[in-house]
Amino acid sequence: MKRFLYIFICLELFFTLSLAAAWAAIPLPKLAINVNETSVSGLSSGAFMTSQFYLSYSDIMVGAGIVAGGPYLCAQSWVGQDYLTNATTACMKPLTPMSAPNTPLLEKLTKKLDAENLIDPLVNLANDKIYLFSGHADQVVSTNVVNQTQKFYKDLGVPAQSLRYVTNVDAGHALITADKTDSTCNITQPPFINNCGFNQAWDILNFIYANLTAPGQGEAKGKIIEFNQTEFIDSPYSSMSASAFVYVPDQCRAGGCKLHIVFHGCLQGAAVIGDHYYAKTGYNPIADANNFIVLYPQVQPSTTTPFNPQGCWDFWGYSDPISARHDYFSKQAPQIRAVRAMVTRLSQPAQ
Amino acid sequence: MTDTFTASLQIEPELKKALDRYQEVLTAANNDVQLLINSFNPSQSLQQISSASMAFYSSLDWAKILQNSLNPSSYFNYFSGLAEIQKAATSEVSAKLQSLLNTVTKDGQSYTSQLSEATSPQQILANTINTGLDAYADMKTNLVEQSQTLASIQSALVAFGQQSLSKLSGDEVV
Repeated sequence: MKRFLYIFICLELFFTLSLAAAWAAIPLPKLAINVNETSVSGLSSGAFMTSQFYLSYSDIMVGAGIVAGGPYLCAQSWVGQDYLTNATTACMKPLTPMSAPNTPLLEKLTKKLDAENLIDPLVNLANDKIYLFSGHADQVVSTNVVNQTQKFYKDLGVPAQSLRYVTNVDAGHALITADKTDSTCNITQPPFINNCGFNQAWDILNFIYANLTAPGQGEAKGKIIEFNQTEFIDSPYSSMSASAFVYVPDQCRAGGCKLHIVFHGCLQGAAVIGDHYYAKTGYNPIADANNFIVLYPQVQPSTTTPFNPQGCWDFWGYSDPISARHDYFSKQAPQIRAVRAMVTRLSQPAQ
Repeated sequence: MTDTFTASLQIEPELKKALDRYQEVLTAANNDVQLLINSFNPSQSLQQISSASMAFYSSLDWAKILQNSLNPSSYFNYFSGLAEIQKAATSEVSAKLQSLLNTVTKDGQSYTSQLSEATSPQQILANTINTGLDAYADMKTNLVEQSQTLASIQSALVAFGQQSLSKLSGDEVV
């Protein structure tokens, strides 16, 4: 009884603090985006969430960028262990290639979700572009895992020429930049943003949309807006922060721009590393040059309920501890619902 | 007399620093234990395992499994898969044990050299605390890695069991 009371008080406190913090942030603006030109990318847990959001709403998607992420539903690979165990073994660093994610089963489960209308139709994938990346020196999510992501999308109908899989860079577990102030390419350490001499955000976006204009030198010229994220959250277990960020180039205020959603990885939210991910990973200058709005939803660490001590996006079920389905993967999942509501707001007529 | 007594109770800066560090490590260790406790959710785990297992076992063709399990050639794949896991597990575990051995040796040498460099009893104590905490941090990293290896071995064996049954049932691996 005391334990329940304690959890209740903690949740109350969390919500009160969240509301107080959210008070300072403004509402997400309506910007009349061209919603059918949406794409998504992310690193690590953000890459798992990329697949989850992309497949849930493939109707509006044109592509996805998955950096060091396993296949959709990966945590359900092997039936003799729970989602968290699968997520931290088979989906990250399996002992042998045979114990990597169980892609045939995951494909079967994905088709079932399609039949139940819990995700958008899988036929949408045939017209989309998927960028995949696995660093040669990545000891957190091994290439054996990302190989299965490639197989997953191939088997579900993404044509070979629409899949770009990069494995030849000696990179650690990180999003890649060409910024000399970032970490050395082949190491794995916070904030998991490494300088390997090329701009991965550009590679992702240019592969998905093709023939983009290269960004100019210097700082991004648009505006980073911190907005109130709580109005989109309808679950006490989402682990989502009180505020999140959207990058809006000046020319996009009138509407008609494309949308790219970026999911950070574990220990990479603004609550942990400040503006390093949403301001300095190379997406924003590309947005300036190519009429994109970039949305950076945020998750923060939570050490009680939900149990998410590293502030990861949910790919094993912490955000839905109550329902029998433990839904972290479909249109009904708390985090996916929240981000979709943000997209809806951005697509409303500009004011 | 009083001055001498008070002076002898003064804590040297190095020892104070070591004691502060000890306190920090203790707090962090308590937090780790709390995190470990919070990570357990047996009812959710049981629910996930039982519903997935029921779906899997009911999808198998048990007559075919029985029939195929009488065929000696099916055991070749079985044993080669198991041998692959065995080989990878041995290599991973021995690498981690070697790393642990190196850590213990390095920490032992560091302790011995620091003891010989100490010039006062308080410095000896500070060095002992610092070396102990360094060793604790190294061992903790090592033990976390070892437990991750053991979890991945267990996961590989679970995957192997599921794959073997699927193959005997005549399915693609599911």
